[in-house]
Amino acid sequence: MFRTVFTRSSTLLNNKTAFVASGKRFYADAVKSEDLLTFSLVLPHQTIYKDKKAPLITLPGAKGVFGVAKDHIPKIAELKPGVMQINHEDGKEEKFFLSGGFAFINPDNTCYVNAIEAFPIEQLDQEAVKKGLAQYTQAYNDATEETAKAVALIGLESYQQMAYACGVSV
Amino acid sequence: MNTTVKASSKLFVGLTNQNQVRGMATLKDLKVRLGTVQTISKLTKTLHMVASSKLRSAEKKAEELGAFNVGPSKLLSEIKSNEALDQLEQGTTFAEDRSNKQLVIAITTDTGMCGPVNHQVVKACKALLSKDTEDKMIASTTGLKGTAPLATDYPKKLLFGGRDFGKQDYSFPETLLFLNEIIAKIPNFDNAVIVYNKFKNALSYSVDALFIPGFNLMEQHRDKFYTYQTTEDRAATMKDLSEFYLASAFWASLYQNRASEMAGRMVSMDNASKNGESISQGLSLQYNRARQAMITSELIEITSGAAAIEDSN
Amino acid sequence: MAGQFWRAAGLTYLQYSSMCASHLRNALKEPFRATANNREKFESSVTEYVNGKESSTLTLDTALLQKQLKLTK
Repeated sequence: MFRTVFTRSSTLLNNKTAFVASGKRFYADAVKSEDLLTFSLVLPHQTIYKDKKAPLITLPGAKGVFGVAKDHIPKIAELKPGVMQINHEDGKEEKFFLSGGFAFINPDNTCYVNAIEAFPIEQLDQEAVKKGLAQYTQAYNDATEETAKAVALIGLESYQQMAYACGVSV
Repeated sequence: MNTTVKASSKLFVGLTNQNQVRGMATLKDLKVRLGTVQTISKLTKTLHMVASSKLRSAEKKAEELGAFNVGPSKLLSEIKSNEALDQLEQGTTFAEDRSNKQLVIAITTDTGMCGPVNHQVVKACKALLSKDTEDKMIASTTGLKGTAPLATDYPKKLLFGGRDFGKQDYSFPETLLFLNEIIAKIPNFDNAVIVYNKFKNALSYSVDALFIPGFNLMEQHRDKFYTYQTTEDRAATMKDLSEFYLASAFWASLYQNRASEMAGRMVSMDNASKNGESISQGLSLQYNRARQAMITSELIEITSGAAAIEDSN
Repeated sequence: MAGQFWRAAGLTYLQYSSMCASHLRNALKEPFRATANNREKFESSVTEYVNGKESSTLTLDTALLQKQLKLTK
């Protein structure tokens, strides 16, 4: 069971009511192929998924996590460091941690997720995340000058998100 | 002993001594030259094989990793010129201060012997720069073969020259650092043009240019993105996107150019090997003739010596 | 991303995204970290030209990437 998170506009404009009504429905009924989103997850050095069909993906946008399903309205989303979840046809959930990038949802229903680095969340090292979180929290508190503070905050935000992703307390 | 041989051998005695000395020197030279040419041929044959296998993997990478540019270019490749910006009246307020600068980024290599790959890119860049009467263009290269010609002919328009860029293999973190040097100097670029070799097949690759709109230009084309929603601050997203597109387009062009470079090197090495072989054949022939001439003169010496002994007897 | 704090501080998007990518690579378990660090095994240089003459040269390598993060670990 999972919580679907949609942006207001997508729920209003998305006329696939069966889909919008309840997340539970996915796994109870067989999902028809026409109801699937087609997306690609590409990194500069590797293509993880190309034209993959799935019922739903959720992405780490600037203002929080948002979901993308078939017939989503066109969108250009800048991605922040965070978790991308793929809800596969067979019910399995797959989670990647993205360092950032862009997502393009086009009027022709294609969806490209461009990330600079992405790894399955299981590959995050809790010790390294704990350490980084402490270091950048300290750096942020110590920094006085604007650039130093910005650099520290970039580190802090990244490590905070990684901490949420791999179960380290923030 | 035959009088003819005796007579003719007496004629040759003086000559054969000289010829022998000259013959030995020539023979040695020829052997050395032959050895050199054969070594170089082995080298070019090896380099040809290396380029051939590198071509196969470069071709594959160009196709796979070019996928990184599909998303952004699908959205932005329709903006092909600076017209929308240039046509505006003075005093127009822009999204950010207009810099009136156009970036030209030439994908060139450090080493040569790769066919016309660098020459084509340099030629195209020079054509662009020659038309830049208003001094808007700022050029940068990724490799030495592009830097020297541009520094010579357009010293005021050259900004950065790369070296050892992507030597082993291209790396995106390296790409971000490289492009950032340019962007940090010219953050409000009007647009950028990436000049590279587009790969078709092992025998066909030609110069192409990718046009990257800057932030102000993208704003002038807002109607193209009208249908696209952005939940965040739209302007900030588009500003970041213009930098991102520069990186993704540059990334794709690097691999296209590398595949072209490998194809060019293959042909170049193949030609060098063929040349080496024909020179080698010519030298072999010369060497064998010289060797035979030496043997003949030695024989004549022996027979004339024997005839002299016989005579004295 | 309204008036992103890092842009206000003079950083570019390329720097910002490069830093976030470094943070992620640095926080991985082995052997994934070693594989990711292969992407940092470059060493090249960028030379600035003034009037056609070499002015200054910057080395691009993993040390520069770590320096960007401004944290001596």
